[in-house]
Amino acid sequence: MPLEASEEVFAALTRRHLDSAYRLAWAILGDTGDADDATQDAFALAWRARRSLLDPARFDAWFGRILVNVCRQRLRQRARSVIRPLDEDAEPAIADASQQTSARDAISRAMARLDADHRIVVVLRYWADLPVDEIAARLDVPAGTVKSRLHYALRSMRPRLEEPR
Amino acid sequence: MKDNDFDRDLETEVRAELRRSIVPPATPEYVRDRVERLAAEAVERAGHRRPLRPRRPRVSWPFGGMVAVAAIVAVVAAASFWRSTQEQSATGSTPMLGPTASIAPGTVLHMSVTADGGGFVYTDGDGLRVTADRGVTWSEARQVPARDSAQDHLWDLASLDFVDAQHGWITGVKNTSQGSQVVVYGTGDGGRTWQSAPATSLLPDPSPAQGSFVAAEDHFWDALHGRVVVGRVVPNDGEMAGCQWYATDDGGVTWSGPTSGPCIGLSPMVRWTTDAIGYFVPTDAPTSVSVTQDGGRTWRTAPLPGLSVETILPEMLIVDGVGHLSLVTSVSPSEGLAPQLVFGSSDGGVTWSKELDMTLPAGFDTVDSVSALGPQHWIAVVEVAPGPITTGTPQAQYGYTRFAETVDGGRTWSLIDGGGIQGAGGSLWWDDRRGMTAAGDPMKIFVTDDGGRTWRPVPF
Repeated sequence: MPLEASEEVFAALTRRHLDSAYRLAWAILGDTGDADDATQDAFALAWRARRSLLDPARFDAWFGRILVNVCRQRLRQRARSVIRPLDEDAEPAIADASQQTSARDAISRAMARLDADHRIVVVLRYWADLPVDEIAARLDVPAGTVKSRLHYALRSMRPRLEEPR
Repeated sequence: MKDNDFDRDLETEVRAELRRSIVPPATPEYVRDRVERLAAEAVERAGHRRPLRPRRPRVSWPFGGMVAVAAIVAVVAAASFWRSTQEQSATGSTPMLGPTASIAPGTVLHMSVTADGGGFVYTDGDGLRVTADRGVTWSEARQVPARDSAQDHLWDLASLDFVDAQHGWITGVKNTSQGSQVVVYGTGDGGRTWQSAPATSLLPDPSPAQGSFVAAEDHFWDALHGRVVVGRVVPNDGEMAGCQWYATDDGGVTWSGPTSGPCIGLSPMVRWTTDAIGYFVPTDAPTSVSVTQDGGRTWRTAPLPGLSVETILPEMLIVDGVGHLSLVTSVSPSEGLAPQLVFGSSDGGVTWSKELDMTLPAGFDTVDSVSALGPQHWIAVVEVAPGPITTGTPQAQYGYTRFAETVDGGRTWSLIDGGGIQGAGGSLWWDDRRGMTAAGDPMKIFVTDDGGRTWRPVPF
């Protein structure tokens, strides 16, 4: 029984989801400044578009789509205007002989090689632990596309992760 | 090491390392302030504005005999937006307190009733509660085959579908490492036990090249007859490759199909007035309505006169004892029409005419979530505007939700004395006395046995 949210309810929804939105933006963008901007932009967009939220119970998915789109735009802008390319082969700033740290660095480097769409599905699936259908809803693509992106993302990460550590 | 093993290991490694390495900081205060400012400005702007467009219930209306006595079937997929923290037992005429900013947790995910007195409430984290006596007594919490995060997606709450107090089905898509699979579970004992129906075996994804199942929806119009509509996407294409239909005439023991068919039920969603009578607004004809009276085997689509391009929101389709259809709709104010219209059809939905502009009395801002207790007897949630009805309450600048009824098919409406639970989003009815609703923060179920004049919370 979808109901349209009043301004008060919508405001409460935005408050309730702020922290999780910020965390997700940060996870996708990996940068505090970008996450700050993306979060604010997403909520501003959400207020402008709130009449399109036909079912407040679906706020999470509805807003998630807005947030992910904003993050995707920022990732693409970043890709077009990189001033200092990420040194994918750089050693960790603080050397750590543990295998865990080495694996983490390998993951980070592998993630850095992904384009925006693939990075997003990886974060949503493996960091946010969202099911494929929810990711599909947030990206406005079929579930099959999500699976395909995950598949290709992992495939492209695979050689990097297979490198000797 | 095989590829599949490697992929599984890789997924595990990626998941673990991402969780270790991505540790976002706390939300900066200036971001919080900005978001709060956006909210405060919007709420302030809304302070004197008319409340919102009417709501969309999914209703059902079993009828039989003379004039129908109603039971309304609805899916309450909303729970997190009810606007009051003030739960009312609604036993008196105490003015409703105004809304606050708090939101109830999204607990009640499904409510429905059946014509034989069955009632079902599925609560996230609790399970399925069942009544077989029109809400007088309720069962312990029963578990249903539910979403399994390890398998991505097992079923959609919208596909939880009971045809009577004993028989119900759940249909969904399960994603596994071998591909996607449509699954159907059925119960014949009111949800105590669930069996995987044989449809499961006929629908393992036959070939990955044909794409993945992405959605499935069932509709049963009695304990024996039903169908499942399945949507599929083609790999690396992303387009929905059409839908397939499977049918059963023996309660899911055997299935026929698949046959190609429209994706009705998946998109657009169908609202079922009875298990045989359903309706939807076609996406490519937003001022028309499609109606079926045979459980979805055939559909008739016809325009609703006097509307331009605005999408209508069908509130309820009512069928009287002689087959006359009445469609209560809501339209955007930009149409220049009354916000609620009633269309009628005496030829089964081949043609429609406008029968009524529902002019609401002063003090009513909207009539939402209409439920039919009879062809002319409807109960709705109303937004009561600030003014005569609510003056004297300190929070009177906001609208309140109350129950109102009409006994003349929407021509005149009156508030139900003492009836009202702040934040109720709609009501379901077994007959003209007994009904239930959900409201409050945290959300609770309320039942009435006097037509909505008093409401009793159900203790679970």
